Formats: sequence, C-alpha cells, structure tokens
Amino acid sequence: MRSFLLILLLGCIAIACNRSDSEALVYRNVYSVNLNGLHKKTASLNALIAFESQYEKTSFKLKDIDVDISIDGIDIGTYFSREPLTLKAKSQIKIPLAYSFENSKIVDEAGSNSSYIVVLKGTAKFTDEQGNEQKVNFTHKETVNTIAKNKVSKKNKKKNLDEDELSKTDIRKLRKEKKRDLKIEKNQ
Amino acid sequence: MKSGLRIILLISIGMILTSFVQKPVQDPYFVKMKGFKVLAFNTQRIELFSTAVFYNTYKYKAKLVEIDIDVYLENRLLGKVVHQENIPIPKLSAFDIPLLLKLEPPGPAITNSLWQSAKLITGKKVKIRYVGFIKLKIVGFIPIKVPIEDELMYSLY
Repeated sequence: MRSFLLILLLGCIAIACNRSDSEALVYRNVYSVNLNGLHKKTASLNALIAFESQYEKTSFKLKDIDVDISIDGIDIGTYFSREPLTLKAKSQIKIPLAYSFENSKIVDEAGSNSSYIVVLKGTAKFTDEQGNEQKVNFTHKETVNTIAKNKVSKKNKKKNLDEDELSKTDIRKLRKEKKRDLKIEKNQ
Repeated sequence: MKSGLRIILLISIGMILTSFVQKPVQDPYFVKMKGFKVLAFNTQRIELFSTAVFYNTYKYKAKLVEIDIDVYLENRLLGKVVHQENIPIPKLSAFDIPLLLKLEPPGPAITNSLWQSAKLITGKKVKIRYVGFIKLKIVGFIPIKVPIEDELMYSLY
C-alpha cells in the first residue's frame, strides 16, 4: 500500500514538473520610439512594440491593437490597427506603430522642447487557430530626445563659438601651467 | 423645366463623383471608450466626460457632421452629448471624439430619480451607458452613420 502511494506521489510530481506553465503571450518592450516633424504642422510618432510567444506549438494572429498615446502628460490620441500579423510559436513579433498628430497639441508658442516623455498604454488582442482570444496589456514610458529645430540666431552662434574658444584656451593654459610645475619639480 | 434639368445634372454629377470614391470592405466603426471622468455630480450640475475612439476605414479624410449619443445612468436617461468642436478625422486611422454631457441644472425629474438609486447613495459602482451614433461625411458629400454602444461601471464618489 505504501509503495503504491509512493509511486502515485512520484507520478503526480512528474506530471506537475512536466506541465508547461510558462506558455503565455508576453509583452517584451517598445523599441525605436521616434518623434518627427515637431517643427511642422503635423508631427509623427513611430515605434515598434514587441511581443513574444512562449507557446511550443500554437501560433497566433493579431486581432487588433489599440494604444493610448500621451506626450508630456497630454493625451495625443489613440493608435488602432487590425493588421492580421502572425505570431508563430516560440518567436517574437514587432508591431509597427505610426501615428500622426497636430503639433500644436504639445508644442506651445515658446517652441519645441529637446525631450518629451512619451507614454504608450495599450492592449493587443491575439487569437489562436481555434479562435480563442488572449489579451496582452502593456505600458511603456520613455523620454524621447529630439533635435531642437528652432533657428539659432547668428549672434547666439557666435556667442557659443566664443565660449567654446575660451574653454579651449583655458585648457591650454592649464596644460602649460602643469608642464611648468613638472619642470620645476624635476629641476629641484 | 430648367430647374428640373439642373437637379438631374446635379444628381448625375454626384453619382459620377461617388463612383470614383473607393468604398472600403468595412464602414468606419466604434473602437472603445476611454478616459471617463466625472467633472461634477450634484443637484446644481452634472458633467460627465469621456472620449470615444472610432476608426476611419476610408482612404479619405472625413468631417464630423453630427453627434447623437444618449447617456444613461443605471438605465435612466441623463441626457444627450453636446457636439463640442471641429475634429480632424484622418484617413485610415483611429480618431478620438470627446463626449461631454453637461446638465446645468439637471432638472428635478432626473435628480429625484437619481437620488432614489441605492447604489448612488451607498457609493457603489454604477452603470453608465452610451448609445447613439455619429455622422461623418467622406470627401465632403458621402454621409456615413457610425453606431456606438458601450457601457462602463464607475463609482461616482
């Protein structure tokens, strides 16, 4: 009786260990977040949203993806797509996000900033071959640096150059002083 | 006689123009509601704000012509959503429509019936339902009616 129970227990442990608990669809990351055209009337946001399938055999199809976009805490809009992309078993998928919006929403009269906090919050729905749906929620926050497109006046450019030159001369002076100090030390 | 000819000419021009517009497989549709907020909820003023997300399936920009959406709170009609501003609707893209329900003052019938609701008094979540449609015009003359029906649970206090 005891041996039977022991065998049963071992069997249960073996089955439990064999179970594929890790089979799931997972959000991985958002790559290549870019803000373009901030000096134009309409700007655009581009990114790649990566998901991974940890399933051994089942492949999935993207049903739809919706992403709420906010920049510097301002609601910009919603990206929505029903492109039927396929996510194969044990692989990754990068869903491209391209969204155009009116520049006036984030850029005020003072001009554009050099960096913006972009928050992407959304849900991707996948369906398997049997039609079973799986939702994957995700949130991504990233500070995106942009090149300031504001025109710099010639005077400011000159000023900047002068400042740079000064700093260079300062470095030269310091180096010369150091060399002198070293020579004096050697002579002593 | 001349006016009759003009009408026929206008209709035929309209038909020719519409034949050039490529119709997508699916009409524009409602995607989801987001960002529900209670701006005010008292006997003097009721203000509910939400954003409806739609998708324009056409290859052309559209224009929002009309919003006709009823807002229900616990199956009681609160009122209609007010059309706020000119919203740009891009081609083949999702677009947000802000929906503001403003009742100032709400009216005795609404306030009485609302305060009788046990859920509201106890601060439990209440059902808020949006039912109606929006009307778009594609390329300036093709009217499209997009239905909307959604409900959410929200605690007002």
